Amino acid sequence: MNNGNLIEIQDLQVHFPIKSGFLQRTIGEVKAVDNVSFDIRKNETIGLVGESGCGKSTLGRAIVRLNRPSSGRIMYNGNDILTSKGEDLVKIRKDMQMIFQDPYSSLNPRHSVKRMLTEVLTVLKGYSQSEANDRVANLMVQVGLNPVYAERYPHEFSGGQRQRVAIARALALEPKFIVCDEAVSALDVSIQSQIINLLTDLKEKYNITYLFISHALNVIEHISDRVVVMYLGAVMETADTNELFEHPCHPYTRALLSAIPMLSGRERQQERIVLKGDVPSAAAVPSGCRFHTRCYMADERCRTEVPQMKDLGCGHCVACHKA
Amino acid sequence: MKKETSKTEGLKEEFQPTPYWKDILRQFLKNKLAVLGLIILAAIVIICVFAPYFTKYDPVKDMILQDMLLPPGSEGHILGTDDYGRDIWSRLIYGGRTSMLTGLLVALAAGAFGILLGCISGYFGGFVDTILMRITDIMMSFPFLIIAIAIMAALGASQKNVIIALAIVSWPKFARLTRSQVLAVKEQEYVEAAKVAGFKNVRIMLNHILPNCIGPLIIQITLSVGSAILSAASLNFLGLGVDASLPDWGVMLNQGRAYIQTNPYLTTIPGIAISLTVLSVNWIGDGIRDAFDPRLRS
Amino acid sequence: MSSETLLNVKNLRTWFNTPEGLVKSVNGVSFHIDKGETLALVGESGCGKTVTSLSLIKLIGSNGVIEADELTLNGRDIRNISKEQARKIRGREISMIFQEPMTSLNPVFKIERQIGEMIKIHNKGISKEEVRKRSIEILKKVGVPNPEERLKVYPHQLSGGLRQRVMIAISLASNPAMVIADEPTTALDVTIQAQIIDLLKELQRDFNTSILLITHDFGVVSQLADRVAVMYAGRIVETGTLEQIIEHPLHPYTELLILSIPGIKVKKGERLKTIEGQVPNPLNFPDGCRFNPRCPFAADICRRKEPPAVVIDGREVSCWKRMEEENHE
Repeated sequence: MNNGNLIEIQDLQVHFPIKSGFLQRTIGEVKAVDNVSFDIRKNETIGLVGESGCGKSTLGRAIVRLNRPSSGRIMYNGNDILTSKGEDLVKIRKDMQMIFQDPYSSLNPRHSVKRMLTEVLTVLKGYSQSEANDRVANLMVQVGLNPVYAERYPHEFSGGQRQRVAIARALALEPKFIVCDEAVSALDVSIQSQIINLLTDLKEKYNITYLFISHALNVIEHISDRVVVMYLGAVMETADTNELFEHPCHPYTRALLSAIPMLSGRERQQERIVLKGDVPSAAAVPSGCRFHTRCYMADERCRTEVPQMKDLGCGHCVACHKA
Repeated sequence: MKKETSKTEGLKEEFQPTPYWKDILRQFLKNKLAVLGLIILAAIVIICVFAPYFTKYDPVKDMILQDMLLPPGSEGHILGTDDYGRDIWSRLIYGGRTSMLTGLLVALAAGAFGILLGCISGYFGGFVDTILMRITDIMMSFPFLIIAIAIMAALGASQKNVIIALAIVSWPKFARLTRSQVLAVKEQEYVEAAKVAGFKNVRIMLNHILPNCIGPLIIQITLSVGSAILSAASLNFLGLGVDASLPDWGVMLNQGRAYIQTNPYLTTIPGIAISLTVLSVNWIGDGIRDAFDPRLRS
Repeated sequence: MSSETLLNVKNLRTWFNTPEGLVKSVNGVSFHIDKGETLALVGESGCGKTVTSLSLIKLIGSNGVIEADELTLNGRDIRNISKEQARKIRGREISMIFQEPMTSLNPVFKIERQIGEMIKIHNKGISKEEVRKRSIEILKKVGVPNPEERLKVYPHQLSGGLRQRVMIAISLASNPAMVIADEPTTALDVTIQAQIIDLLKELQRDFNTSILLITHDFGVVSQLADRVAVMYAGRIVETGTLEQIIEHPLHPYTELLILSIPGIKVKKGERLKTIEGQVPNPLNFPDGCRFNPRCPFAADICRRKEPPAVVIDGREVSCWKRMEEENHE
């Protein structure tokens, strides 16, 4: 494939059935991810931002096959990962790793760092025991941990160090693509920057592509090349980071950005937009534009007609009638 | 890259890995209570297995009626004699053969089977889970003795069949417990991380989920040893177990009941034997559980 | 805004006896809050900011000891008050808003009962009708839509934002002089966070309430605080106005902290500053200045002696390096 896309997500839907009663009959559906399409280019960091319940984690988990999509396609290097089987799937799996939010539950408490990494290396990468030993030490150095700690167990590390172990585990498979699901959100502020810098360094060194999922706009702005804004299971706006943060077109994006005045480094003292009400339930998505219930610009058309994704040029796409 | 390799090499001497099982064993041996339990259990097993070397009496045939109900400490009979004039010590160590075998085998067999099914049920969920759990519901809704009697009636009376019957009755408890543990652990992110890495389901279950469920399961196994010994006695009492004349701790307890007012040692001695076994198994179990849990290490 | 002091704290020390040893969670903290003012206590987890706030209202475990050279509320010494008096202060003069509104509301009681309880405690002998009326009034004030209906529901039936509004309603029911807001928006989404911050500001204007804001989030601080106190390892390292702290931090910790957060001062594409190492273990705080093992400017004296709080440019800072620079000038 020559268009420079590593991953293409096409009309992806992840719906969870709502079951109820003695017979566990399906009485409804939560549309966690609803008709989402976007591309992830090689070697870029794409930021996926949205409030809780917008489906950003579900989407990330679907890409690494922790969720089964209801329909749609996820193309990886031209292969549909949802239909791949056997050898192809094993290969794709090694290429795609994930780093989780909570470094306290993402490491098996019963495995020492060494055992954790050795298992990955010997079982999945076919290393011999002695090769694995060298590689463990090397991986630990890569993520800024002293290899003498290899025999330590997760509980003996601090939160930031645990996240480094989790990164080492992902790196062990030499992945091309890593989903970082709120990977720095649970960390202390001073530790957060250590991990962000580490992720940036590793990306440059190994040409890794990141899908960086976060609700923290300042982190997203810092780390991403492009940003995808999701609301209630659908993509509202995508653009290059600078373009999005300087010229947000979707009213939802504008509200998100205005909620964080600390983002300085550029003059953005525009009016503060405080959205009314709460995010509606994903089991009852509003008609028309799903944002219209909280939108300060909504009119009749927004209530009835679903807005289509429009390209405003330079890859800035927005799903809004008003843009 | 070059710089890093040299950095790595410098640290190699300190980087001395300990094999996993050796490490577990070392942790286990550090636990004094667990080691004591192991010693007690080993002693009991050795005495029972080599019973003929530890007594001059036959537990069944040597009935000397004029020596009946001798108290412990009597000449020639260190623990006294029972109501038929049989030596209690020799009945105890011969009886241990059956009782220990029954207790340990039932606990291990029921544990292995129940944990396996519970694991599958909890990990895969869905249809498999529904079927398996309804079966355990049905099993657990009947009083265990009734099912055991039914199985014994079908299989016929023998020690082997007692073990089979008790194992069949006990496994649902393990399946239930394991399933609930697995359900909690499989939601943990490290299990998801293992899935993303591409490990096979069997490996994830055995290496990542099961070790994190082991605590309550080991306790359940150790408790089962004691209850299996007592259940076997109930079956014997109903005439469904081994030959009632053959020594067995449970049988001894039952026989002693008639003399509980006048000769309490008839019940106390086999009672202590059962307790000691359960206690030592319990200590060993705790030791194993703690040895597997790195969080408890200093 | 009046400059009348509401709360004055001098050299507050809160120590806990734990099986692992004596934990000096708060060790010599001094600050004051004026009427109608918002002071933000900022720091990373484990720095003692929550313990500081809980010590003010004697809400710590029985293994804790609170001492202070001075602790006055409205000019009244509240150092050696009885449990009963402390309880009264908690209800009437100082109330709290917690981080997690799901766990700080009782899940088995309806909203009506939880708000009503607060009103009844502070207005003995009030009629049932009156309680209801006031509850609705308060819920309206905190912007809960359809307050009559919301009284009839359980906490889990409300969204996170509404629960936090109810929590604020409960804490305001007694019309307190000061509210301790412990990470009031951390568990909420960005857009809901903005609503709650607006609400707190509005209420502060209406009631002239002082707020002690406890948070690790400079974004929230910048929107709400008048003054900021930065805590590290059980001590306040620096106090100043919001502008001073963000634009011209004096203490190396504050400076590095601000430069390590994307989007405050660091421009995109620039590398984030990091503070090497880990937050120290409260059982084993380093000697001298507690920040010295992670401080790029640490000198010999920093490792030996704890720096005193000195006033530089009209604000307090505890740092040897700053003191030295000041003396040279």
